[in-house]
Amino acid sequence: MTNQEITERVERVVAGVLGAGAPTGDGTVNIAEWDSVKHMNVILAVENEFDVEFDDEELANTHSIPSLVEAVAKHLAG
Amino acid sequence: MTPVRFFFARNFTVEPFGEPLTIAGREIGVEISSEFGSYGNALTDIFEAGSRATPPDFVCVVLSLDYLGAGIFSPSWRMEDAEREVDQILAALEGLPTGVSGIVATFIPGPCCELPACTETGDAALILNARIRAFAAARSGRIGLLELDRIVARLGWEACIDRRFGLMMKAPFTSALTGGAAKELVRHVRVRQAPPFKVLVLDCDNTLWGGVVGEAGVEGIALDPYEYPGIAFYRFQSEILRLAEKGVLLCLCSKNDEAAVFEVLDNHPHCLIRRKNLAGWKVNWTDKAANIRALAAELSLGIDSMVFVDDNPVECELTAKALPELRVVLLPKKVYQIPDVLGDLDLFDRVTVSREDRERAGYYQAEQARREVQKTVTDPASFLEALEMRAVVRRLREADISRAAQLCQRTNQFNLTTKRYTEAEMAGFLADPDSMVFLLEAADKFGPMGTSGLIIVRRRGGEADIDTFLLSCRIIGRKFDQLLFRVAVREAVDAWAAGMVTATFCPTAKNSLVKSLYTEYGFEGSEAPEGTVFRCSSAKLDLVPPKEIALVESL
Repeated sequence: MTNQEITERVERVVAGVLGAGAPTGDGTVNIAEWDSVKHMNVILAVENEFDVEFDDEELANTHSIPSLVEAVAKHLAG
Repeated sequence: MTPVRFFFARNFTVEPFGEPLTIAGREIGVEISSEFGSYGNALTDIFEAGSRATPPDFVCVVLSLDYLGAGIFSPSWRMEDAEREVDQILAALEGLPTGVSGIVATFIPGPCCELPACTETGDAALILNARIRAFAAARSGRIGLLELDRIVARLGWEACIDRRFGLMMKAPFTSALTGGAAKELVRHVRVRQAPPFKVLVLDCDNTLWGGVVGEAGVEGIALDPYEYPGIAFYRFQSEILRLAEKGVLLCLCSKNDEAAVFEVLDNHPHCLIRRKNLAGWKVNWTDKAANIRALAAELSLGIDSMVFVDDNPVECELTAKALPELRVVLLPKKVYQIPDVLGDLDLFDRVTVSREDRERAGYYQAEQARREVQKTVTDPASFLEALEMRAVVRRLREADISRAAQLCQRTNQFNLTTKRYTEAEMAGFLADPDSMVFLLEAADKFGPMGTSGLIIVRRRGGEADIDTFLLSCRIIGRKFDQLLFRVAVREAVDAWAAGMVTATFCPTAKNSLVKSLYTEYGFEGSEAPEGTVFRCSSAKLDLVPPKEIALVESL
């Protein structure tokens, strides 16, 4: 799976969880709603989408689309 | 949609309840919004929410019992501290202003119970939970209770609990658990929004017991505390009695022979519902909508306060159509699902019935006992039209002999002469040129009902005699009898050029339903040793098939 494909799927999942506006074009997320509970929901949804489980460190550092994509790519690469 | 506002006071992360609660609310037409208090301030949050100019509709305090006091895993935890905190929170809930409903939800953290070293702390959580439950039970109607562990027990620990986020964010619940919790919370909303149901109207055959008592007899029905399927009906009766103890009025509405039904209620060893538990009954052959209307009038209660339970989809649909304000519950086809039906629906949540209501039950029961009037079948035409009935009436064939004999052996209620013909005798009729045997196959929009009617016409000189006429009880009251009779007699009269038709009614313990049938058909009756003998000239008989049923070649 290419980074582009992962990015598209992550964006779609994040938009689904956060409800309000989709992520912006540059890959950053401009949503004030991304609080800790929403973060938990984002993590669960992304993990479910790609059938991966993030490490603790990743959980603390995945508050943007690029960081989520990077973490997913790492797990998919094994 | 009606807006309803929830305020959650809590000692852990319950924000994930918000979204499923909104979704569950929409299913009952309520728009639920949720607001969450701060962590660890449940007590002050309850006071704050209750003292607002516009307080929320519900204040729900959600407690993870391990966090009470100093926290169950802390060396400085003491039971007294946890109990004090519980008591203060419950007192605050009870002190909410009128119009604000309090709910206390508890969660017992399971893992501490799994560890042998933590038995004591696990027990402590259970003790705290019991304390909360007792408080809420003593104030049912004022304080609602939601034990999340019951949902965990139903769905399974692994499906409900997320250990990772439980420890990381104090958010231990999966969407399976929050979804289940939302459904439970919505029940509290519904109770508050809708007036409670007060009356449970029950069908009898295949509802209170398995089988048809008019056919099988008291000994033949399925009702048993141990054996399946009787145990399903036994448990269902037990559930019903539990509701009666809460003040729900019980009524029977059954197309049945009243004596047969009360033989079960009075004499069956395992029948839990007895005559004394009933507020009223209509056990007759009149249509159920009319009977339920009459029950409502007798009890002076609205039909919208009644729930009607029946196993028959036809009865359910037609009754619901005739009485749109009635809540109709169709029993599941799978017998093992029956005991849980009322609990799952929980239509009788937090019913409050006055003392007067309870006394009224006894009054109507006495009144009912005086009425021994049995009404004959009078189905409204529109009722029957909606069924889209169709039927085949045809002569007996070799392949039908077994079923035809079986009908003669088993049919009791709609059976004019109750002659128990064997297969050999039935084969004799087939070979006899002076006998005609007709079978009825019935169907309606809900599906086929099988070969369910039989008539035997015999030639006696210039007369056609109805030797046997019977109908399976599941199609009684829907004009199939007229169809079968008229088609068969027309054919026999024409074939034999019979100027006179004769028939006999032989009374038995179970066929009082049809004692006036031939009189209604236009016959003149006279008493004879074997029963009532009827005569009518064939020219005078109405032999045009009823228009409500389509006569077809095959189904």
